[in-house]
Amino acid sequence: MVGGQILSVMNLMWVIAVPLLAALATPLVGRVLGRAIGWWAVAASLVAAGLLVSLSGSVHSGNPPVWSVEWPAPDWGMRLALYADGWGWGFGLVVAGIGTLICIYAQHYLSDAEPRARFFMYLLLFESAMLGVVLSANLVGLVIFWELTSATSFLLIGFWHTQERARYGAYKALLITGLGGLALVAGVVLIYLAMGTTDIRELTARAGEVQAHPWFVPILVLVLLGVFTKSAQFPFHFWLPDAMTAPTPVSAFLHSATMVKAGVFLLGRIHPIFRGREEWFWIVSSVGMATMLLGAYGALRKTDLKALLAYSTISQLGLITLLYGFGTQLAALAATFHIFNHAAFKAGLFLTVGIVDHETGTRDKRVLKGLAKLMPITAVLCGVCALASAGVPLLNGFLSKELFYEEMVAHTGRGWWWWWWPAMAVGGSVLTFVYSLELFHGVFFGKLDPHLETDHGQSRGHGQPHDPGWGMLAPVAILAAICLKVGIWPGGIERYILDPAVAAVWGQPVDFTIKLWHGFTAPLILSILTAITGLVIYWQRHRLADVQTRLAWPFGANTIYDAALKGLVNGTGKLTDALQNGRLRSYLWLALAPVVVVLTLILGREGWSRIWPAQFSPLAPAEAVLLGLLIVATLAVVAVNQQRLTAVIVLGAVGALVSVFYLVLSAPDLALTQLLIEAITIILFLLVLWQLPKSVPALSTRGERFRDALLAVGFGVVMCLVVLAVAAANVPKPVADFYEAASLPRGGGRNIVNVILIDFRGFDTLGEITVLGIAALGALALMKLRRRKEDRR
Amino acid sequence: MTPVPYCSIFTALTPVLILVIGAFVALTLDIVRLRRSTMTVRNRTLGMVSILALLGAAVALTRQFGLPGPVTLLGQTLVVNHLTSLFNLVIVGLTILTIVISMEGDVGRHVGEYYATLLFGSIGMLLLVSTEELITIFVALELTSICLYILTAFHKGALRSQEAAVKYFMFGAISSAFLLFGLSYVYGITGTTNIREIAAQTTSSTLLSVGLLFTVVGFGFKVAVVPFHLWAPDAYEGAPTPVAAFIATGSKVASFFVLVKLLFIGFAGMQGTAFCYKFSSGWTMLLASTGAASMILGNVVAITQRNIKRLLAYSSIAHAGYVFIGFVAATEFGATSVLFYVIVYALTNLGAFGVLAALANRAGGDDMEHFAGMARRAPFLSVLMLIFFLSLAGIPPLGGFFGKFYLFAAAVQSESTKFGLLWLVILGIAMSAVSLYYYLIVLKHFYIIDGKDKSRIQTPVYLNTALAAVAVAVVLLGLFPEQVLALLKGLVAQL
Repeated sequence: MVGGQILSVMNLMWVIAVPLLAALATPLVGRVLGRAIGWWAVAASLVAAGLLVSLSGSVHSGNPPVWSVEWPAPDWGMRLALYADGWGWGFGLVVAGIGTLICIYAQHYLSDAEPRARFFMYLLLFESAMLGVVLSANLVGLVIFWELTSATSFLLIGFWHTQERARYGAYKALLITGLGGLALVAGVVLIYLAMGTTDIRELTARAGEVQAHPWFVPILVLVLLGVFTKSAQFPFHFWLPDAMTAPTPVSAFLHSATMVKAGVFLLGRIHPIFRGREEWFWIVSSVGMATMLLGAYGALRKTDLKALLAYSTISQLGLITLLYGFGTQLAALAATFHIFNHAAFKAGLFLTVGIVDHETGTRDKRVLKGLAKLMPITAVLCGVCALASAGVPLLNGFLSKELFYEEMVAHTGRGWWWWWWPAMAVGGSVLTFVYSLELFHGVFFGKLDPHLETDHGQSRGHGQPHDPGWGMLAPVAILAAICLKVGIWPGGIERYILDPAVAAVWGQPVDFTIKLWHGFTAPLILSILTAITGLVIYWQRHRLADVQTRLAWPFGANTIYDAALKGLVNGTGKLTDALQNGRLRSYLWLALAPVVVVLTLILGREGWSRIWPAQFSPLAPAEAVLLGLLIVATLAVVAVNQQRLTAVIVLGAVGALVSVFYLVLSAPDLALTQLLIEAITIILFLLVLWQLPKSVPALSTRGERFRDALLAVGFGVVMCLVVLAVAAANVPKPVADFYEAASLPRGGGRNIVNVILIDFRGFDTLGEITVLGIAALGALALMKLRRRKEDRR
Repeated sequence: MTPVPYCSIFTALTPVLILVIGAFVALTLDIVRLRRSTMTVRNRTLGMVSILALLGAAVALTRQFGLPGPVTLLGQTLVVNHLTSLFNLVIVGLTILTIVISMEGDVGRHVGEYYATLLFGSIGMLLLVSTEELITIFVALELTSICLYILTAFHKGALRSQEAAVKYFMFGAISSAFLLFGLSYVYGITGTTNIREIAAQTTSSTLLSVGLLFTVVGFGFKVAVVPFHLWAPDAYEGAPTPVAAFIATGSKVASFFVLVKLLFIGFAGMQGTAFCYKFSSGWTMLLASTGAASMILGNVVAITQRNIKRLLAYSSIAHAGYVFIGFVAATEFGATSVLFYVIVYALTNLGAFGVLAALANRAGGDDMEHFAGMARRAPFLSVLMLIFFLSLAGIPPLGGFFGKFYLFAAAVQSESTKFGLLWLVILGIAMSAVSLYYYLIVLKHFYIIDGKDKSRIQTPVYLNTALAAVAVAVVLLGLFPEQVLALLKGLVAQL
């Protein structure tokens, strides 16, 4: 038994590893298999599904297998840990199962011109990441896999794109889900800080503690932002329709069972931790309700069948979200059941639309009519899936819709205004009914457009549209069969997948049975009402279209997104122009002004008395004259700076004055060095400036010059104060004392200046000499160059 | 003072000596033997000579791990311990990669000078890492900087390169002035140039605050944080791409490393606080404000860039801001997280610049438009670019994610009663979200947009291999971050 347990635990790891390894091997295997590489992906997905099935024993026994390694950062609660409770396991089964079907379909769908191996590689990578999301045992792992699904879906969606519109869509999808993902990361970080763990089971066990924590609301909001962006919930729903430009198998996989479902999956994951709080109910349910209505309404406005499906997905996800928000046992059951049902019929619908597109070359519902004559099998399969979506009895959608109504009605006892919920629910379902009929009846019945029958030009199939080969029909047929089977005889799936899944979402085992016939109850009446109203509206649908055109709201979330993006780009552009204008003058301002401010603050804190020296040494008249000359000369440099040569000469005068100053302060060596350096600098300057125009053009306006002068004065004053502060401070060990004491015993000389130059700073002096030498060499080289040039002339 | 055995001195100095010899060999070889050879031959030969010298230095550095203990020469002028040896190895590795990138590109007519200057610059960085003495810090920093100014101007024909070099030099000169002024004040107050002795004598005084401020400002210029960053975009764009890579990686690694030593050891007593509820003066406050400004401005302004090198310049400004979060934590773990991040950052950026350098010549430029449809023209390098950019954006499980994670964790942990530094962490996460936008725009050009030119781009195998090795390192840092962190932690504890 223990051995069996270990085996099943390892199987858990292999569920993710098999698609991953298969994906990595795809480029190599592709060389051997060639066109048939799709079957490699089919096999990998099948193995993953099979491994999950092999785990069913321990899942059903309520003893979920756990596999974990101390990696990558266990000290921080980050370890790769997988576990298969009913929820993750059931979801994983759907992912791997539909993944298998999609691979079969894609193998037949793709034309030979498309790079198959790479497509299937990305598809398997994505599948692996998605399985990682559903099987992760801690939130950190979940988030990492979550981001990986975003990244790999970017590869999948982006692979085909040649049109501007499609690129825009792929980018938008990644940006919105990526931003949401970061919000989720922040939420997980907060959870870790608050609770000290990210382990989902532990958090579930300590749900009360989480809910009582003062950070509950920020945590909830951040996590929900991740959920809502990923699952395209209002107001973030607008990215999904634009992401639909991917090839149909990709849309079918990403937008029926996986990518967007990751959001509601997480909602189910955190359901036992968060449910019950008022904030949870109001935020989740209201957002779900808004999304459901908006999505269904939007679906009717679309003429492209795939866009219609996109909006219908948004709407269905809204329904599921709405249910999870209620946080009751029945709602959890209804939502969970509907997730599985939706995955089946929506994948089927996507694949049918793919077939229609493949055969006729168009997805426009205004053109597509009466196709049942040409493609009867497709029509039947589409009918099953569409009617399941509409909620017609004997199909799976009906059962979950009944549960949905039951839950909505159950709350009406709390006051008359609670009827709002069932009313809206019926409204949403009616719209769903209408667009489902459009998909089935609209496309496959009515008068066949003769143009369609004969036009082979734009069709990707060969000749007249007809039912495709078994490879594309079989996956749809299997999905349709599941819809039927669950709808008529819900016993099997209930025990096998739904039971453990609902138990996991609710937090403890739930006792329920799903029956086709409940008797004449409120939900049934609402269902009948839905069907009748739906039929009437479908019959009068051209009027609905008129109303919709008149109601067309020009200002949607998309407009805001576009405007925000444009504003961001324009705004940052202006900021860049202002800051990074390429001029050193303004760079200096930006860099030095803050320094002046901080310096002022530091000095100001200290107080005047400690900066201003208590006493100054007396100033001899000669020194005063010298200082005055120095100031005048420096100002003159500024004044004449337009004339290059004059400015250099005046600058030389400043240097000479400084060296005289050194002389007065009895430092003849320093004075000498300074004089030499001045001389060489002037020579170098003159030699270089000879090549340049004589005067500097006026580059700045009067205002700019005033601004620059302000900075110069400010910086000068502050630096002056800093220097004064040295005189005021009691420097602990004046260095002069050291030289005075050490010059005789260590240097063996009585002239301290000499000893310093030759002994203590011998290397320094050597360095100075070297610098002077190199500078002189440079000057010499420049002069020689000039002479050679003149000789040539 | 215990005497240091000669063989230890030798082991400590060999890496630098080998590089000096290598630089002169490269110079001489170019003048004496390669005068008449073609550009490609000169470039390849001298590149190989430089790489040999660097490999020799690397071998010598690995020998330092066998030393019985830290070696200290001339009163902390040169301190060799395992941490410095490790970072010296990192710098040598970065220099090797820079040279590999250069060998493919256009480095102008003065090939010998180019490689010699590059090696001298790397010597400056090695010395910068292994010193604990203010004057040597300044000299080493100048050695590095002056080499980088010269290298920036190496596209002699291009006006942009000249302009970039002048701007870089002007700013560099100002920053050196600040740094020297600051260090001289520190010396004046404490009476020592030895970092550890400074720490022992630190008494808070206005002048020391001024010294600290000027030191931080000086380094602020070197690592390009707001508001001292303005040279970076112009320099990166104008400089030859390998040089931009070297400025963005090697010099940053060395500067951040020495800043860690200066602040965490030398100014340990003057950290102050930067909590949201209490600001008190000290270097954490300075770094928190400049870091926050860098994260905001770097990321926001990067959005509008069309030139990828410029974009990387702004992104590196933002990354310097993230690094400062680790400093502000002011704990041993904070220092460790800074060092971890710097390694990840340098590898990732060098990889990104490498891909740019490899493709830019054949793509016709380094604006985004030139890279449209690159995923089909150069699929291998595009995958590498994907890895580097996702790591820069901090997407798990790449190295960049854990780098940021440790920085943020250090900040949260350092004050975990009221989470005083949470404001910086939240800002960091929010700005990472912004950064995702522009990193993705680049990837969008590589992967989604179709370019006019669809011809395949062939790149030499050695270049692909080197860049792939960097990518593998970035992935491994993401896969085994804990091991690397533990290693760094152990070494930092000995510091």
